Amino acid sequence: MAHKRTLPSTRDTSPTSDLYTDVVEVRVGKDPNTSSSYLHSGLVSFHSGYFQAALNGNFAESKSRVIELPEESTEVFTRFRMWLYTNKIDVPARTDRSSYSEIIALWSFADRREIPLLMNECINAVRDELVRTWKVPTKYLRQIYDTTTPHAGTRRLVIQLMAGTWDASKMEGERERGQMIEAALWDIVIAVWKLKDEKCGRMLKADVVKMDLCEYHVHEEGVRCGSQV
Amino acid sequence: MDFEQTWAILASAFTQIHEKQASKLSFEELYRNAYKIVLKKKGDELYLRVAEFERDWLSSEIERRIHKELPPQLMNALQGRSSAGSVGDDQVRTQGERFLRQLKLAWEDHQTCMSMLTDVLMYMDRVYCADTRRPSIFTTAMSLFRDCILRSHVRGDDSWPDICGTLNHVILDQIRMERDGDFIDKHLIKANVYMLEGLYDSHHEVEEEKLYLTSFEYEFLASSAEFYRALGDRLLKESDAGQYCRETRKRIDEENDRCRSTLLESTTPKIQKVVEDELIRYRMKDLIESESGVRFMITNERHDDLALVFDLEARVDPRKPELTKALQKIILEMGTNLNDAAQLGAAAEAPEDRAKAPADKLVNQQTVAALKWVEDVLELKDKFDAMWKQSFQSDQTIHTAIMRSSAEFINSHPRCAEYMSLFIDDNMKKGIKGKTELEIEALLNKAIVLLRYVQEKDVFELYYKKHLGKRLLMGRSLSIDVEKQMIFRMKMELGNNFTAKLEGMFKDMTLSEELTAGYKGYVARLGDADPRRIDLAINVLTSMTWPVETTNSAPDDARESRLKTIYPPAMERIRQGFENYYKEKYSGRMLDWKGNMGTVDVKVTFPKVPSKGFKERRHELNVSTYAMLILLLFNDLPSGASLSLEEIQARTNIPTNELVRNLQSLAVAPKTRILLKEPMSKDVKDTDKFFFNEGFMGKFHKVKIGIVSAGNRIENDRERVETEKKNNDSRGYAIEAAVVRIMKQRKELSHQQLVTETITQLNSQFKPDVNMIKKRIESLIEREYLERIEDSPSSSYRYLA
Repeated sequence: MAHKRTLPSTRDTSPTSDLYTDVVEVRVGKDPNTSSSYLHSGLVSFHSGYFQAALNGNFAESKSRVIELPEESTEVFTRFRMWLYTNKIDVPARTDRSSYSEIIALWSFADRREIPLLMNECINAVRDELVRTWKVPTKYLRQIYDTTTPHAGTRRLVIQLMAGTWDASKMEGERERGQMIEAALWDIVIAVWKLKDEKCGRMLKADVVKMDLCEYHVHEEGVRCGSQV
Repeated sequence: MDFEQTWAILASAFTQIHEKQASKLSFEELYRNAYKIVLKKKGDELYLRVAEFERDWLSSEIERRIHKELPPQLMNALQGRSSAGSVGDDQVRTQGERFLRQLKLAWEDHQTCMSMLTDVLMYMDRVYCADTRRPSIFTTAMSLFRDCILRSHVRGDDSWPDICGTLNHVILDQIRMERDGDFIDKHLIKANVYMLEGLYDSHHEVEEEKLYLTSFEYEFLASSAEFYRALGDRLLKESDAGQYCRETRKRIDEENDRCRSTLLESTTPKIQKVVEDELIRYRMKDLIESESGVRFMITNERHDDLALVFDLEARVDPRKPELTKALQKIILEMGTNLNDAAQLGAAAEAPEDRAKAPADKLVNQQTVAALKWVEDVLELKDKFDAMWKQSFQSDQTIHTAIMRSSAEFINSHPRCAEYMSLFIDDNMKKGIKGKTELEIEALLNKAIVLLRYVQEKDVFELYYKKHLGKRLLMGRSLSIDVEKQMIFRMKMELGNNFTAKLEGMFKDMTLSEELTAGYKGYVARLGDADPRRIDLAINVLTSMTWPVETTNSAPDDARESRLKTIYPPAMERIRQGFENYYKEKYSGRMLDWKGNMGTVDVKVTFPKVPSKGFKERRHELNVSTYAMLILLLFNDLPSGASLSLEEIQARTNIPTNELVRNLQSLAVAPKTRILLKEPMSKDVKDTDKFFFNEGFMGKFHKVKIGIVSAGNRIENDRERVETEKKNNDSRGYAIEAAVVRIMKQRKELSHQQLVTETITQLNSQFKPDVNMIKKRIESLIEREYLERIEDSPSSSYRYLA
């Protein structure tokens, strides 16, 4: 706890060159199918509260300099590594279907490993994906509700998007397809109430583009995106 | 996921952490398990289990370790002890240190472990605690330490203070030992202080709830106050004031250091205040007034000690009330002593008898005493000025205090204005002889500084004019340049109004020189260079500028003033000549000749006196104009003939008082007895007869015949009454002028306001007497400058244009 540095939640602070010195081995997956990556410990600690604790605490990892993540998937971890070094969220831009699932999985990883900037950029990616496909990720509600806690940004954003862009007939259609989950329904009802009549179901693409996503981001007190432009 | 199973994994890991065997544990595994519990909405349960785990651990294992270090004899010693040491001091001290060490260890372990647990439970803190607004598990665990350890009672016995109270006792005990000169383990105490600083009295984590403040600091301050109260008592009894100050300074520094090294810096101002209260604020008065206090220090020039006293009081009150009060009292006393000493000389004044030499001598003695008073005042001032710079850091408040009391005692001397003018007079005539420019400068400065104190500036002006006038007319000033510098300084200090007339006097002198030279040239151009012609040097004085006694010979009898002095024809011719010359230059001006002010050089031939074997002797006599007139009468007298006083007066018209004075110089003073008097006595009476002293024998060719009491010296009572009357008159005019000025501007004003404003306006000249103001207002109403406003609730006036 005492060693915890503030983690960046915007691009306003970027990692300095001295973070690229030592490396730490990260083994992902269960034996015998583990794959090893070497990450700069400074960089990974710069972004992740989890890695900070693992590498600086008094547990085995801080001495062995090897971190085993048996329950993480290689695919998600690779995407994280890619983001760590290129600042890009690399999800396939398919025309036949959306990439919500990949983004949600990455957000969940970032939440688990306490990487606020990646969480925030995943939120942005969800919105971008909606603008691209104009399809709310109803199919992934279960995935979302399984891997997040009630206040999670992804949950709240997706519910908000449903409440903002859907109407009653769309809702009925979803009931027939049987993809709704009970917990989500409660959240939708509350969101609809909060939106009031004029906004409800009237959100257009332009509105979505203009949305202030900091509502769904993770920020320290007083910080917002673009506040330091 | 099964909660119990997962918790079991975590619980066993936590035990290992507390037993310091964590290095083999996988962080990822523990973290992942905690994460899963939270994700499955079991955060609440996890939180409670962890808290319960910690409570168990603290109240079993840790409590046992701490309580073990508190054997009954230590508890008894801590409770029963007064501030005096006891036999078992060493043992108590060792036991106390062991307790401190154990507590420090427990606290540090608890922090380390909880920091590790917090890492493992990171997701719970970040998601569950944030969502449900619970304090972090670390915070909760810290409160648990407070509740389970600090609030526990040894062996469950409520009659003893809890661990926290015991800790206070132990720390305070150690501090007491240090104050008594022992060495203690500061780091050990500091570690425990940090613990108190890190914990709060309740679950509100706000600054003022810190245990250090709520539990420890209060007791520390209270016990310190007690300690320093006792110390103050002892020091006042046993040490002198200088030592007291040094000890206090040392103690303050020590407490400073203690806060830095042993306690917390945030306590510094508070303990400072305690020490300052107990050793300074409540004691300053006693200290300053003690036998070895400020008076002793001043008498014995203990500048360093005075600086300490100043320093100490300045710490507690920027106004330094006690020191200021003491200084004022002492200055006033010293000043009053000077005044009394000066007055002692004055008290010896003989009944008025101006004809007698001893009376004159007395006056001289008094003049010397007056000068000495000024010198003494200056010396006193220098002493306190030096002290002010050396010991009081040139502090403004002290300066004001010194100024005030100096002004008070100076002005309480009724003759201060006269004495100061005399002091300058003496220096102008003698004092500056052989002095360098710098020394003269310093002297002038001193004079100005003294002048600043004098409240009755108008009285001073009166005397200064009188003294300056005599210096100028009698040529007694050593340096006109220095005189002018003095005037310039007065102008800077008191303004144009004050010096206008004084400057006018200098102007008259310069003009007179020009007139004399001009007249000489004018006479030379007339052609008839008469070798027997009398040389004339003239001073033309403007009548309002010069002191009244110079321009008005103040005859005893008003009738006399109308009589014109009779000059012999040779003199009368010159007088007329100059008057004509003057009237050509300045038409419409009146010249009034002052026989009492001029001097004449006369050549006198004394005949052979065979009976005494004297040859014929020639002398050049320097006499006053009146004396010259008297002597000339004897020119026409046959040898051995005499003139009575009445005869002389009838033939010269010299006012009686001047005549008497001049005859005294000519016929009584032993060394300048040009005339002989019958009967031979010191008094001059109307019926006395005067003869030319043919047997006069002078040692030198030139003989100066002074007039009795011509120089500047202290006034006698009669003169003073006159001066006072004159001064009161001019004050009356000044008051009237001020009242009219104010009313002209304000039109209507209440009595109270008018009086206040008048006093303010005149303050730089003198302090007007309220009764005098009232009388002047009455007089102005009579003369219809003002009227009373009839129906006004408070008495008010209206200006009548």
